[in-house]
Amino acid sequence: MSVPKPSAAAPPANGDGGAAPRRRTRRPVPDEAGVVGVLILLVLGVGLFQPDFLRTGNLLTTAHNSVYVGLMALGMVFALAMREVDLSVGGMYAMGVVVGALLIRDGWNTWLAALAVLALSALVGALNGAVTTYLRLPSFIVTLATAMLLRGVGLALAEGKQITDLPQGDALFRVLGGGELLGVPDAVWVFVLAVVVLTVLFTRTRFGARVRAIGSNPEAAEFGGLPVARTRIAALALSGLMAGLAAVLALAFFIAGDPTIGQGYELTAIAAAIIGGTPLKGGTGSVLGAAAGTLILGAVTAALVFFEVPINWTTFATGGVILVAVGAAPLLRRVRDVRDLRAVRDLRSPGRNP
Amino acid sequence: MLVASGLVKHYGGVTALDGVGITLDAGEVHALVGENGAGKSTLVKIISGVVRPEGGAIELDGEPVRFAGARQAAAQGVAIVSQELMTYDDLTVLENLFPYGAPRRRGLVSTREMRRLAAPVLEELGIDPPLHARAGELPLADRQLLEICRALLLEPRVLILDEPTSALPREAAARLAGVTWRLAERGLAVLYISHFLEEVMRIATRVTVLRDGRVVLPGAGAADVSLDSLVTAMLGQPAAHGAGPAAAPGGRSGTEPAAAPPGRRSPSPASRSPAGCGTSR
Repeated sequence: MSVPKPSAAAPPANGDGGAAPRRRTRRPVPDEAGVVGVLILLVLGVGLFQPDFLRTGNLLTTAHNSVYVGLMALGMVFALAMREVDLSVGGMYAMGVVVGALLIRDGWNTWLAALAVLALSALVGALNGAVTTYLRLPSFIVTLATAMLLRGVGLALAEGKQITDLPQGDALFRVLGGGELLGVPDAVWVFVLAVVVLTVLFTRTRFGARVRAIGSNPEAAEFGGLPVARTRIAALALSGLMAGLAAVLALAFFIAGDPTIGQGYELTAIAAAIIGGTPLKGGTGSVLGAAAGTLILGAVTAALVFFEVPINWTTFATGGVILVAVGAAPLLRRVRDVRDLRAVRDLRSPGRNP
Repeated sequence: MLVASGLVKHYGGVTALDGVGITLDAGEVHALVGENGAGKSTLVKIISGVVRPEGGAIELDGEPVRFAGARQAAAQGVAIVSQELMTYDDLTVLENLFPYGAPRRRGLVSTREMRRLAAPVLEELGIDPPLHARAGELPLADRQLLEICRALLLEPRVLILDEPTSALPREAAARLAGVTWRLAERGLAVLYISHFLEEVMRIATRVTVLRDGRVVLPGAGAADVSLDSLVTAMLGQPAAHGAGPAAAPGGRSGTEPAAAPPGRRSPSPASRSPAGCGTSR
């Protein structure tokens, strides 16, 4: 930044920078490039040993299975980027599935019931944000409590049982559950659409910039008058909304309301977001990276089946993959930061040939 | 342009400000000096809307104003560059310039529009940052200049620079001095807070000195005040050798003026500074 323009009124004392030609910086390589590359290499690598893994049907099934936790990971990016965390998404997901199933069983229009689930999830997410903000409590504690509250509500409403007697031929179940477009399940299209919309929201809107700014320097945000409380409430509402959307898709696919669904999904969603380049320290993040992180975890789970790893070891293996991935991420980031720093220094160096 | 009067503020049992007033005129660089704890920071935080006073009033262009926060103060034309670094290091340089409300096109933040708006301000500051680099990758001095850019983009009428050169190398401080004068010539009222008295003497049109939460020297013409009398006003007594109030911790050394504005006196601080008073940087 201290590269002075030729027209600078007050030239620097050493005078060696005044004649530096104006250079344009190239935009840095997107943060997501690494994790998307790892995903592709992983899929191709497994396919090398297990060619059936690369069958379109298998890949689409793997993607479809990843959609639910994936949607939660996308919302989690906003919470983590603000230095918050939302541990309630798993409970929200279970409650959403149960509430949706109950409303439909009670005769509600299925689409209206789906909308009600979305609204309820966003509202509970906003409440998470409001309690965090106004009681000045860590979101970790607040959402840990609401996770149990919500799962408890789901279990109580469903009386601990699956709600199954739903109208299977209804349009919601046919379209969002079993429907396909161009051979790709509709749920996967919803996920793709969510990735696009939330990427734009995170990177190209004032809201997204505020989320990142508050996470980057909360003191400066307070001092500068950014709407910290409002933004936190909105970010956690968005996280809740994504869990609600996952619940609607799950309800449509399973055509049942299972109150025990989604155990541990909140931690998988956090892991996926971190693998995708969203650090716990906030300030930055990647929606596309979180999607890729989810797909990496989904691909590993699927690959373990192909390699006939005993079912009891799959959880262990998934944990190992998460550990390796989150361990490698900072290493890759450090390499990239050093490279970026060199690029900035090169740019600032007046003696460098353009 | 901005008149603050009778400002009172306590922190616990400590009186930070006790009926402080200051008048900032358009086209002037008004320095505010005082020892640590004299009340400078509290005064600028009140004027910039960050802190609310318990008593007193602020008028802007003759109209009483009461700021609910820094953003509201900025909206009314009072911008502050804080002593503490307030950059968002994970955001790009360009995003750092528009934290409150980036220009939008069709509802989305427009990078092109941000560049267009930022270009003249960057030009004025004489800097050419890598706009897509993360702000945290820039050296400290550059991040401080980034904050000044951000304040100028708010098109303020009153600009508060709170210790703006504390982290700047000499050439950057000299450039900032030039910018400060140009802004004043453009009609801005600049309130300039600094520990470096020689810098103050070079840059300021008028000087106000605070001591123990009170004004002890109200808006004196900088040309009419000697460095010795400034030090005496700050301390309440003539400076003892080797125990000056304005010793710069580290930072630049040397006492020559960075650059003198056209038509202004160009003091020779080395000859005017009381020996050992610690006013050099």
